[in-house]
Formats: sequence, C-alpha cells, structure tokens
Amino acid sequence: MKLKSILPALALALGATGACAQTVVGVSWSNFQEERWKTDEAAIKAQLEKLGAKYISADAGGSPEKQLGDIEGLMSKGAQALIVLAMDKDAILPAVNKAMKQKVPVVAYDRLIETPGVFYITFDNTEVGRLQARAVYKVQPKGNYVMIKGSPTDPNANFLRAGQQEVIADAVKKGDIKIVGDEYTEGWKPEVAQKNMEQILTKVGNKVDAVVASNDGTAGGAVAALTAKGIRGIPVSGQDADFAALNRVALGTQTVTVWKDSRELGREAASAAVALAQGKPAEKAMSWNGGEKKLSISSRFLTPVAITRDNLDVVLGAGWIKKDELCKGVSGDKAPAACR
Amino acid sequence: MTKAPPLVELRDIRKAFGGVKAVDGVSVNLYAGEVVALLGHNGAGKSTLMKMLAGAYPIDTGETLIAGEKVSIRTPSEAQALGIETIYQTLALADNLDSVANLFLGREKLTPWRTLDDHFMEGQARKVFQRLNKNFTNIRVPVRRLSGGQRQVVAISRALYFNARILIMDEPCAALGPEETAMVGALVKQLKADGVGIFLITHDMPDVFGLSDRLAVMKNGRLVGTYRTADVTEDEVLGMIIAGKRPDGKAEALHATA
Amino acid sequence: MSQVPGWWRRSGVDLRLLLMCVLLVVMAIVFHLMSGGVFLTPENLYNIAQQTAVVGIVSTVMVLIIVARHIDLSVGSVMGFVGVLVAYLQYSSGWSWPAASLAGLAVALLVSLYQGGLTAVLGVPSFVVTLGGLMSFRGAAFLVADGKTQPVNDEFFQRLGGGYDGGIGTTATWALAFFVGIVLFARMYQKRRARRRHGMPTEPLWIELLLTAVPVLAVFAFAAAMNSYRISSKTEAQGFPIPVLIWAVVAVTLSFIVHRTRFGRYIFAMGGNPDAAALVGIPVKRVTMMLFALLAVLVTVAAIVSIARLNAGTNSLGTGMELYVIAAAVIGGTALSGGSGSIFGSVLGALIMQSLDSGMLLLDVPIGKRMVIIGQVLIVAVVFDVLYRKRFGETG
Repeated sequence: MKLKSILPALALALGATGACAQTVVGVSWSNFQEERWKTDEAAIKAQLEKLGAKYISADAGGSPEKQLGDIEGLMSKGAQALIVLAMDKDAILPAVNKAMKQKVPVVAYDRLIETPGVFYITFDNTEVGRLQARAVYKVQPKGNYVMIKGSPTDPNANFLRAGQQEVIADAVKKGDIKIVGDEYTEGWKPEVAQKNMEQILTKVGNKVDAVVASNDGTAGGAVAALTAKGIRGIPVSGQDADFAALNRVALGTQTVTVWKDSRELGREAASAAVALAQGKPAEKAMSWNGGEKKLSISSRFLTPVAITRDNLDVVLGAGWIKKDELCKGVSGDKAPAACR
Repeated sequence: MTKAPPLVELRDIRKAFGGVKAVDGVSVNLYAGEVVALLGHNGAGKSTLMKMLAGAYPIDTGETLIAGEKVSIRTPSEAQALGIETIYQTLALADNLDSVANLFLGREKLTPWRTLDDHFMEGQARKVFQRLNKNFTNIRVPVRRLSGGQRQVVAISRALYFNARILIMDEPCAALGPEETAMVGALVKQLKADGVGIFLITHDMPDVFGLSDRLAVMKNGRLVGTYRTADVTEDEVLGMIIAGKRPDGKAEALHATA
Repeated sequence: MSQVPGWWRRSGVDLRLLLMCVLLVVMAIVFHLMSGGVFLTPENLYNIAQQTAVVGIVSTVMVLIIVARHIDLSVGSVMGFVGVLVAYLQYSSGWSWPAASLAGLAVALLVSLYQGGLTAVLGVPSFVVTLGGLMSFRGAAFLVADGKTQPVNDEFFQRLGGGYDGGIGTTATWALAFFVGIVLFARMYQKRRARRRHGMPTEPLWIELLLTAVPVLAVFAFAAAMNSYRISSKTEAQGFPIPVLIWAVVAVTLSFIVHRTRFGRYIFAMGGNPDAAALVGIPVKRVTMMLFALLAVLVTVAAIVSIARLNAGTNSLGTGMELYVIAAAVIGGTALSGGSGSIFGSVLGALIMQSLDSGMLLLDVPIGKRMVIIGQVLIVAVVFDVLYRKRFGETG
C-alpha cells in the first residue's frame, strides 16, 4: 500500500477511536425531595445513553457543603463534563471554579451559577413567573394579592418573583392590585407555605382575592390554608405540573401550573454536556447577563408552557400524565374538556 | 445440739469478667442472728460476691443455698423474694425522686386499678422513717436535697420495711457522722436480736470488732480465711487483708458461734 | 434551701411553669398591641393552636425519652415516612383511612422495635441509632411514592387536621369545657378526702379551690375564644379544633402515665440513676422498649394530624421537626442530662415557640430575623432554667 493512503487511514482510525472513548458526564443533584427531579434524571440518563456517554451522579441531600465534596468526587471518578443543580448558588462557586480550571466544562442546570465560563440551561424562570401572574391576573385583575415565594436560598425564587411583578406592576401602581402578603417559603416546604398563608389571611381579615404561588408544592399548602378558612374559587398559580397540581387544575382549585417539560431540559442539558466535553460549543447558546452580578453567561432558555383547565390535553398528549390520574375525583358538568 | 442450717450458704462461687477472676472459688456462710464481716482490699471481690447474692450479677459456677434449699438468683427481684435486702455503698437511690418513691422503688404498691397507691405508700413510709429518725419529716422532697444521714435512713428503711431475713450492708457508715454511726450500730444489734443474718462489708476496724461475730477476709478473689472476731487481733486481720497471711495457731470458724 | 411558703410548695405548682405561662401571656399581649389587635383574635388563636399541635404531640413523649437519658433524632423522618405511607395507601392504593392508619401504626411500631431494640438491648447510644434513622427514614419517605405528593381527600380524615370542618362546634365545646371543670373539681375533692383518710394534713379549702379554679377558668376562656371564631361562610362557630383535642388527650394521658403509673416512675428512676434502677430490679430493657413503642404510637398520631391538615402526604413532611420538638421539651424545663422534665412544660414550650413565629409573621418580620430571634429565645429559656436550678435547687 502506498504511504499516502496509509497515513490518512491511520488518522481516521485514531480519530474514530478517540470519538469512541466514552465521554463521562457527572451530574451533581442538590436534593431529591422535590418530586420533579426524578423525571429530569431519567431524561438525562436516556439522552446520555443515546449519545454513547456514561452517567455518574451524586446527591447532596440538601447540603451545600456536601455538594462541594460531591463535585470533587465526580471529577476524581473521571467526569469530563459536569451538570450541576446547585443547592446554594454562592456556596457552589469554589467547586465550579476548580472544575473549570481543570478544563471540565460545567452546565448549570435550571439554577443559575453565576461565574464566567459556565453554560446555563434553564427554562426561562422569569417567563415562568410572567405566565403564572398572567393566568391569575386574567381571572382576577383587581383586589388583594398574596405572593407565596420559594426558598430564600434559591435564586430562581427571585427570578420568578421578578417575572410576576412585571405583569402586575402597572395594576399595582394604579391601585387596582394591592400586595397584602409577600413571604419566602423555607426549603419550598408545603407545610411552611400553609402556615405563612394562614397568618397572612388572619392579618388581613381573610380579604384575599388571588394567590400567586411560585410552585405546586407551595400552591398545595396555600390551597390547604384557604380551604381551611372556607375560601374557595380564588385563583392560585403554581409550577412543575406535578400530578397533584394537575389534578387540582382539573378540579378547579388551582388556576394554572407552568409546565416545564423537564424531559426536554434533561435531554438538552445532556447533549450540551457531551458537546462541551468534546470541545464543541453547546447548541443554541446565547449570551445573557440578567443575573445578580450582571456577568455575561452563555445560556439557553427553553420555553415553559402555562397549563390551565383549557389546555390540559397538552400534558395528556405529551405522555406526561395519564388520564385517570389527571381526572381523579373530577365529575359532573364542571369537568374540563380533557376529562370528558 | 442440733443446728439449724445456715441462712445463707455460698459454695465455691466463681465469677470472671473477661479474663479477670473477680471471685475465685469462695465459700462462706451466714447464720440467723449473726453478723459476718467481709473484709479485703478494693478489688478483692467482696462487693462482687455480695452483688451475686443480691441478684445484680449472675454466678458463673457455684451453688447458693438459702435456709438449706438450693436456689438460683438471677435478678434483684428474685433475691428480694427470698428476703435478701441490700444497702449499697452508693445507696442505690434515684436522686430525682422523693424518699417515698425510693423506698418502694421497684416494688410499688398499686391500687386495684393498677395505678400507684401514693397515699398508702406515703403513710407506710412515714411510719418506717420515724422508727429510725424522728426528725425526718420532709419525705416529699427529692432525695438529692437530703443530708447523708437522711439518705442512709431511706436506704436502710427498704430493708426494714420489706422484712429482710438476710441483710447485706456495703460500707453503711462511710458517709455518716458519729451520731448516725451509733444509730446504725444500734439498728444492727436490734436486727440480730430479731434473727436477721447480716453480711457487713467494711474497711472500718471499730465496726468490725464492735459489730461482727465472725469475719471473712478475701484477697484477689480468693478467701483467705474465716475466723471468730473474738479470736483474732486487728494486726492479724490486717495481715490477712494485706499479705493474705493466715494467723498462726488460730482455728477457723466455718460455722456460727454458738 | 428555698424560701417559698409551705402551702405553695405543697400545692405542687412549679414556679418555672408559672413563669412560662406569664411569659406566654405577656408575649400574646405585646403581639396583640403591635399587630393592631389581631394576635388575640379567636381566628389567630385557632391558627396557632392548630399550627402547634403536631409538634406538641411529639414533644410530650420526647420529654420522657430525654428524661430516660435517651434522644430520638429520627422523629421528623419517621413521621414523614408514616405520613406519606398513610396518604399513599389511601390515594394510590384505595385503602380506607382506618386501614391505612393502622398500617402506618404497624410500620411505626416496627421502626421503634428496631431502633428501641438496638438502644435497649444492645446498648447502642440512641443518638447514633436515631441519627441513622433520621437519614434512612427520610429516604424511605421518598421511596414510598417515588417522591410524588399524595393528596388526602377523605372528608372525615381531613377533619383530624383541623381546618374548615375540623372544629367540634359550639355545643360540644361548652359541654367539654364543663366536663373538664367538673372533673378537675371532683379530683380536688377526691384528693382531699383521700388525704384525710390516710391521716395526712390538708390545705385550707379556699387555697385548693383557688388553685383548681385557675386552670378551669383558662379552659373556659379558651372555649369562649374558640366559640367566637366563626368562618363567614358558616352559620356556627368552630369550637375546639380537633388537633388540639387530640393534643390535649395525649398530654393528659402522658401526664397520667408519669404521675400515676409504675412505667412513668421507672422512666424517671432510670433517668435519675440508671445503676440504682437496675440494682433495685427495675426491668430497664423492657421499660425502654415500651417507651420507644409509645413514641411510635404518638409519631403515627402526629403524622395523621399532619397529613390531614396539609391535605397531602409530601415526602418532605416533618423535615427538621425533631429540633423543634426537642426545643419545646427543653424550653419546658426538661434537662438534657436526664431525670427531670414536665409534660405540661412541653405544651408551654411548643406554644411559646409557635406563638413567637406566628406573631412575627403577623408583623411581617422578614424570615432571617425571625429565625435569629427564635433561636435566641431557645437559648434564653435554657439559661433561665439553668439559673433557676442554681438558685432554688433541683426540684426534680
């Protein structure tokens, strides 16, 4: 064989071998207690398998300190890219900076990690907030509003609140809407939201016309507090499209839940991680500087969908939830279209 | 003269903790109405031997006979049922409970509805405390607030109230003043006269020579010898305790003095 | 030596608990004034009573656990585990609520057998055993329903958590208040008679009447407040919330156990002097196992009230609750060194902490400041307890 044809063949073979060496992607979870992350995990795993990459993970059980150790552990296990769901956006920085120094690209998953070089992929949380407030405002354009926020250590809580504020700001200025309660919920815990809602209701003599809750867990707590005082029919928002919440939307006790198909998020994050590990840029990345520190971060925002009783068929059609779970306890002529 | 069997007979008792032989083949007996003093260094095994009789520890090997009958004492309750009462060196009092509760601790009197019969127990406690100390009236305060002598009264009262046949006293006068020590001495004499058998563990020579009829000395888990108190001198006793040396020319007293 | 008068000492009123009651009243008045007259409204009192009940129920038995020189750090996780299980069996498996609740109780008892057994029989320190339980059973809570929230929809069951239909109504409330009053006075009379019969001195009648009247009046005042809380869409007032009744029954039962049964006395003896307890023949292992079993029963009750109140079993239920439960017990005068504690104290401790939190929420105090204040109040309470013991001696 001629030397000229051997060399390119060799190079091709070597190149092929290089590409076949499995990319290892490490995922650092913050804590498993909020139910939605299971779906994310399944999606990430499936996409990595499809791309021929390997999945390793660690769960910090809610501890920012443990997460630092988790990231180091994942790197020592050979992770070539990291996907990080940060428990605490500031505490995580040392580990993330260290990883990037060692040329391990970091994908900030759903929660912002504000340091240059990170790829931030999320649903546009400010847009989620806007969708929540919009759906509530449509039903109740005037009156007393209660804002049930998320965890004080989660930056998303503030993005959501900002989005919600954008929608109602004019009405607040005009005096049509009065915000009578605006509380964080430690750890996004439903029972804490319930207690806070009870106290707010007592404070304002139960004169509440709408509740903008930032996720379904806290929405559940707020609804429990409202039902306990016999207040029914006021609009309540949520996020995550968890099954109990979708059921509430079908029953009419919750107005909207913003669905972020976490399968899409997991899939795209996994693809981005593999691409970055191989030295390629992530798909559809753009520059964004809306964080606290106003740093310019390479990001991608996926579009969330507001689910109300009018479009429940969307979650059914996408295979997210089965009809019997969605429509449990729904009967009679008040049932939404999707349940008939 | 036919002798009644001894009240307590311990035959060849052995107990080891791990590799350490705490009690190594000790035989000793006790007759009704007599006081046998148990002497020896710290760690000689006297307390361990008595704790086995009291049911606090199980015996490894050996036999226990009460009034001539073989018995197996596995718990403090079984010992109490045989009439064995113990006054521990630490008194075994629960500091956070009052004297009445401590007197009846583990043996509370219950009402027909299975609740504590506090009134009955308080009444009974008052009576038995009065026998020992006429001035002891604050029986409803936690015992940690009582003086050493009053706490001793509570511990001794257990033995009196539950009609001990066999009494084990571990250093009864260690924390007491002279007046209270005299009271304990008088009590011992009274109990002897009532036919109670008493094992007395003590370091105090005046107590040994003033109260006991016989004495048994242990060293390193073994019995050095058992003698009539009247037959030996203090120096000889010390010699047994410290050096394990039996006194020359003295006969052992393996049975009670007549 | 204390300088309190004889009749006061004999009455059995604990000065510390009295001071805590005073503190609670003062706090309520201050919050009432600062919140523009909202804190002492029937509605807010109904809120606080319900919000405190779950922690209160578990605190009562935590007092006994701590008295016995043990600790249980897993109560929050086990409550979450049992809660999700009971909700799951109803929602996803279609069981009836009594069957689901019994299943939850069985599981809790198995947990207590396991943790109590390691502690009592093998002598593993309860701190370590229950620390492991804290983590394991939180994971178990997640595994039951794969993390999914289990709604609780049974109408009767929901009433156990209070809320809209969770009050017993005006007539039942007055009836209960009268019943309690009669029982307290009857007990006072019975005690006097028993003391006379055994030839023991009794206090002057007016003193005993006064001492009995105070709690009776408190019960009536609470009944009146609860009967003044009418939800606008209903015709009848709420009356006592059911979780509070459950809490009250639990507190009274445990108090009875402490003062009137051998089991209760043995717990205190074991805590006061474990060696003495063994030497006098108290069956220490058995008593410890029974104590952990009692804890399991009450954790199940708390789990039921908890999921009924939230109308859902979430896997994060009860996270961090163990600390509030222990704090309530400690504020109420239970010494962490063992041997000393009060059931009623834990009731006051739980109320003080929750009133503080709820009151500050009414005043819009931000979350960071609220947590700092609550933590410092816990320390103040313990410092007060330590100083009190130094000054007046241990009262046991």
